[in-house]
Amino acid sequence: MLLIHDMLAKSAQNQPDKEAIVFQERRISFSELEKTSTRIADFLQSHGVTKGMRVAVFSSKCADEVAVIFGIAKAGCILVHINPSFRDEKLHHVIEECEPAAFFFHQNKEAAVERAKQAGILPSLLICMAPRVGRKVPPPTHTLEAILKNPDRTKQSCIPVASRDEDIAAILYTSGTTASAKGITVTHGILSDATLVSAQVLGNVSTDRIISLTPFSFDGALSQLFTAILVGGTLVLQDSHFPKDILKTLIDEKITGVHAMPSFWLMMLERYPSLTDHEFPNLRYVSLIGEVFPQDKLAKLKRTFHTSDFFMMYGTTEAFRSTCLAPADFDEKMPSVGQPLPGVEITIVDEHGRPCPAGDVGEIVHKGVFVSPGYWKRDDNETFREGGVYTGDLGMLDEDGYLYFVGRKDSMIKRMGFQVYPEEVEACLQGINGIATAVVVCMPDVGGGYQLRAFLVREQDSDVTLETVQKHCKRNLPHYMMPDSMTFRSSMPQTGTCKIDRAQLKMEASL
Amino acid sequence: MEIRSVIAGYIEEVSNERGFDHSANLFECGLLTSLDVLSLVAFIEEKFSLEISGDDVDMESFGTIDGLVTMIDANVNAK
Repeated sequence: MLLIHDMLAKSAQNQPDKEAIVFQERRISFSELEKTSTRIADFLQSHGVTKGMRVAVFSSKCADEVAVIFGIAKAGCILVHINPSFRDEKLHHVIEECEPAAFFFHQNKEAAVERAKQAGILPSLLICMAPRVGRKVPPPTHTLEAILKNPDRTKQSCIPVASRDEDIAAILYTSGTTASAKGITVTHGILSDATLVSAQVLGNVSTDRIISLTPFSFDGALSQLFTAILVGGTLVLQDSHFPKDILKTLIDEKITGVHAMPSFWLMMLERYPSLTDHEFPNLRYVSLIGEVFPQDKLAKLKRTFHTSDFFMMYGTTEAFRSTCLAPADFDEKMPSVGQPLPGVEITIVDEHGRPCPAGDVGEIVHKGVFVSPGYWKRDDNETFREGGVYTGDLGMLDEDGYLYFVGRKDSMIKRMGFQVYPEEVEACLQGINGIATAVVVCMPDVGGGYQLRAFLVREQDSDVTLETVQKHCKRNLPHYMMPDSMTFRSSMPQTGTCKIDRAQLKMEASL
Repeated sequence: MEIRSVIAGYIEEVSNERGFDHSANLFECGLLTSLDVLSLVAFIEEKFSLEISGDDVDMESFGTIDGLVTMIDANVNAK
């Protein structure tokens, strides 16, 4: 089997000078990426970081990350790419659970890294990437620049550590609640299979120029990276999330493939209406993932990219990739998320685990290839059962075997691609001095996403202000968990059994 | 009223942090998120009686305090 770093080695041999990675003004060729990732593997090995140890990366999009990702694979280590929007609490949880032997970070994260260091949870091997001009990094922290400039003379070239299909290549942390933020283990075999299948389904070729919009802590971002490397195409890393900048990249870099959440396109259409005035002759395909896309907005997007093929994908990180709706079926079968990918078997089961007939809604179960061996350091016999993944997503299959995504079994919603549990937002609000009760309800908004509406009751004699509450949220919640509105009440409405009447609050929120 | 101190004050307010580098990227440092942009635009429009179009909102103008000051300056002078 061709492992991810073998894919890089092969492309570096076939087309050494071709652009592999583009980041702002930087152009990194396949041979440079091959060389620098080997140096990073050398560095890790010479510092006692060996096969199976975890190596963490905490960074916003930057050019150096890619070489680090491949360096970690070459050294036989396990990549833990930590979502750059994680605040201290989640960051510390991930570090404590994974116990990385080395920690790579972007210099912009130095304040958070310093706090983690104070907490005594970081390894001694710290490496700063992308240092800002004129800024010194205090030892013993290493800089990637120095590692690449002064290779370890005693060890000329790392011999990639033999990894097998079943060896864990990465641990991907979900954005779920802090206590339950789980590390999903992904094997080399899954990465390799998923890369081959994605490239085949999307028809990727060496002339492709793919834009990378999300952090590499997402499975979709890794999948795109490896697909581009496999076919010898170019991956263009997008750091700015301003619509105007993204449009400029799409046009100037002659992007041929985009993979994004519907919420990304809704944001683009809403905040940058002139997107629809442009022509995108190079854009070969648009692939969408995961969420419900309002039909009128989708139609608008299809008119804008009228020369592009549209794909709709579905998957959970626990099962990497599940289904794909191909361009040929797109118009006829929307809003279906498509048919199972090669090697995947999708069934719909009722609450007793019995298969549902076509047309009935039940839990989506994924079996076959791409099934993760499980969560890092924890057992979950609910999700991983009988060799499959019980996704917790509700869906149905039609007579032709096309899957339709309906919603979640639990209260989780997705905002901007992140998992959000309203209970966790409530817990944060209730942690504020002077707040007696907090209830957060999710309201579907016109864009097909959700709004979070918070209702608050003060403790007796408390005069806590909205401003204080907002400040507290700002400090403690990542942006995707911020309530869209907050309302004080004198008491919460109650049901006959003295529980909080959430339905009543939902009704008030909809007025 | 000095543009720089008004903008720095606003960002201190929303981010709850003090004394940051005016040339550092506000988003990469975690001081602002893309969700803050809309309210920042509204704040600037009101404070300086300007109208900011989608074309003014990019990383060059909104990524740093220096960029914001330059953009506001140019817009105020063009009035």
